[in-house]
Amino acid sequence: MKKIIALALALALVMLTGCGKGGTASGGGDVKAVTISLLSSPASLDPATTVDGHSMMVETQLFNMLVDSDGGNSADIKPDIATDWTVSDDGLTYTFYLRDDVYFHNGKLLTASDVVYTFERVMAEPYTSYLAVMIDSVEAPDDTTFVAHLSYPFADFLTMIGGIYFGICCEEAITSGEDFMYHPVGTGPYKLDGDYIPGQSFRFVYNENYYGEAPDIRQINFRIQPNTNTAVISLQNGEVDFVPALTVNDISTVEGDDRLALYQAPSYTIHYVCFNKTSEPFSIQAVREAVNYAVNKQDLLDGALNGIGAVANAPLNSLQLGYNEEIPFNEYDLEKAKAKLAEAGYPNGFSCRLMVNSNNAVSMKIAQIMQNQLAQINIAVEVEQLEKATWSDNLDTVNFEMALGTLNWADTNNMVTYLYHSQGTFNYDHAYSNPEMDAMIEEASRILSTEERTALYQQIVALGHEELPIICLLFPNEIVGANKNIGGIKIVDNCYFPVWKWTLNQ
Amino acid sequence: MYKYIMKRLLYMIPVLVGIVLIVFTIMYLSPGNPAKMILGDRAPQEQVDQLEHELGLDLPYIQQFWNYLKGLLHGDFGSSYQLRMPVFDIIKRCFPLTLKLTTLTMLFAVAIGMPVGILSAVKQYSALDACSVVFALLMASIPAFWLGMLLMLLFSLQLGWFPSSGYEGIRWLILPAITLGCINCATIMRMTRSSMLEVIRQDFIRTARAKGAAEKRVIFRHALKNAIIPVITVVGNAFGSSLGGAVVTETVFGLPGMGTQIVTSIRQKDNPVVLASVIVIAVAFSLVNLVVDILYTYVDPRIRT
Repeated sequence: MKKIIALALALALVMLTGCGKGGTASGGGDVKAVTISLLSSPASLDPATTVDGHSMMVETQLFNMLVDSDGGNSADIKPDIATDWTVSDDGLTYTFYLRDDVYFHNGKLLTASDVVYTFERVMAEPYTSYLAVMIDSVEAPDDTTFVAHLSYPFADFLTMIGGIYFGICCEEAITSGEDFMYHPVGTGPYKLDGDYIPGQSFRFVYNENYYGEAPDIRQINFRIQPNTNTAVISLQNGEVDFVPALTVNDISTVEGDDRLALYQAPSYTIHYVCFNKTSEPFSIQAVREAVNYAVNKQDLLDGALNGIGAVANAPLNSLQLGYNEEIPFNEYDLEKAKAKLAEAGYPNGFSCRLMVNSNNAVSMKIAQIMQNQLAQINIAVEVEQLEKATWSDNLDTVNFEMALGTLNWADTNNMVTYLYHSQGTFNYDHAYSNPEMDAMIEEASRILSTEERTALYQQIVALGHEELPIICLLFPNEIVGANKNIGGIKIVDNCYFPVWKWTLNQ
Repeated sequence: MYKYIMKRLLYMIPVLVGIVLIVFTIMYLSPGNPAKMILGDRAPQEQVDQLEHELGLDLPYIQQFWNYLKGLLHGDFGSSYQLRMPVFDIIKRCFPLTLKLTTLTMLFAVAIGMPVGILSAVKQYSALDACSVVFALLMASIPAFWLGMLLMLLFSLQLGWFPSSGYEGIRWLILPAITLGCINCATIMRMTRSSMLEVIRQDFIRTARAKGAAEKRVIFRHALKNAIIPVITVVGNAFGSSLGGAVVTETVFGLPGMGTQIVTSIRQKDNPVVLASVIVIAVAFSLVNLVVDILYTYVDPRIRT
């Protein structure tokens, strides 16, 4: 008995020593610090071996690119490591003139050979090589000049190399043998402090070697919180200061707390329906058109996203190049839908499966609503909820009839190539193959004039809408919650949050 | 005793080989392409195929299994596909945290569950007994994530006593330990109560009382000692399953332990990590069972023969 009492007392002691007001993340001492919540641990801190959004967001703080295009999201190009650049008349040779005062986190001076090394890595790594297919070769004539030779003109080149994949890495740090994924050395405003261990909290501090203006916020703490509800509670009690990727259900909680601020912006993530066009009924265009007429996208937006976001008429949102307002957004018309079905030879409807990724809550809701909507034209939909790995496998092997998918690309070229090009990665069955479409997509990526490109992309999405290989449904909003004391937060993309541009009032 | 322990340890070998075979086969058969998971949704098929080849995932099943076993015999758990580091390092990092959480959980569950169980058996049908039965029923039915959220809202958001998530020290483990503890505590409480009730009615207890032994002595020296065997079993089982099964609680509280790691790895088809985690948990479970069996012999000398 005595032993039990002693044990209980010891336990109580352990608990009591643990008590006390929770330490707040922001403002440890005089250093201005913010704590950012991440849903999952970044898989890598090395830009060339990165695929997930969390890694990209974190790496943004550590690396500079040759030019600043808001992390590959904007066609408005500003200087970064390169102060100036020239493009040859044929659009095939880009010459960049680099700053001579840029130092890496390890104190080494950045030279053009680091840039060459970085580009060659991006071209070789399986994670990124497909993004750099237009680059033929790169060279460094001297320490402050870098030249990229393209194999064909590529209009988005400057925007693309302003993306984090092209973050300039220190050659010496990579070749020295230390695992660069976990020991990143860049030139960015922040550097890793201590060790990065996947799954655990980690910290960035101000890089004194940074060539640019010193940021107001000198320290960033990252905390991994796989559960969004937990993240919101931590935001409310001040343990974290910034939570990206909130859902529409969290909006009222954040808005109801006067210490917090809510930010929203249209996202580049399109929710769409794709079809197996290798066999009937969906190989018939009239059937796909019938589905398009039977779906009320506004109801989908209201039901799946509480009305927050935008109805899509094409895979491009209002901020993207080629956005075409002339395409109708919502063509809900049951009579037309029934007529189209009859025209296709299915006057009495049919039954089919709709495959959904069960890890995506929004897709799940869309599927339920669509099931009801399609029942109105006698299409009996069986919703097939599959775990992400299975869902993705089935898409690749074209083992589906109708499926809900999502795709996120800020740049128009990738978005339309993935979805509409006959060889597009997301044109799963490759059954949608229109030589005219392929030619237009290829041509658009090479036109250097923005006006001409915009016009061509508008034609591309109009043709996409006409032939309907996919039906574009919704764009959700990016929703971010933050401590009200942080200033300067702007949502450009869910992977790009430049903390060095923020301010903190303590 | 030494011989017995050695024999039990040897028995673990075929069990482990069986587990490796089963888990390997399940992971092999389950849909999803690890190479695709590594390179992300947007990667083109050629890159995926190339990586699949580099990882040896295009080899026949038997060869893949043989390669894995060969590595295992050399103490090599392989490398994580996603984190690109030795699996052993990942386990070495996650397991201690889960062990700490489990220990704290069991301390909490036993410290509350056993005394309350004993009291409610001794004072059967009292108010305390009724309360404990209701508590046990409630705790056995509440889902862990919900209880965790409630505790977080109260102790973290309202009172600000404990941090809501992450792990930086023992304070971060208290809310998760209470969450898991409450649930385990219910089982221990009920088991102690019913086992005690059974023993208390037996003749030797009556004899002890008739001999004039003090009530405290009757309960603790005579009744509890005989009633504790099933309780030890329950505690052992709960300890073992908490080692690998605290998945929900770990995720809710953002603890980077085994549970969170296994869930993440299964989702990403990071097979080497899943396999190694299951092996580690199986070994831990077997060891806990062994300890429980050894404990039996100390509590009840009759079992030794």
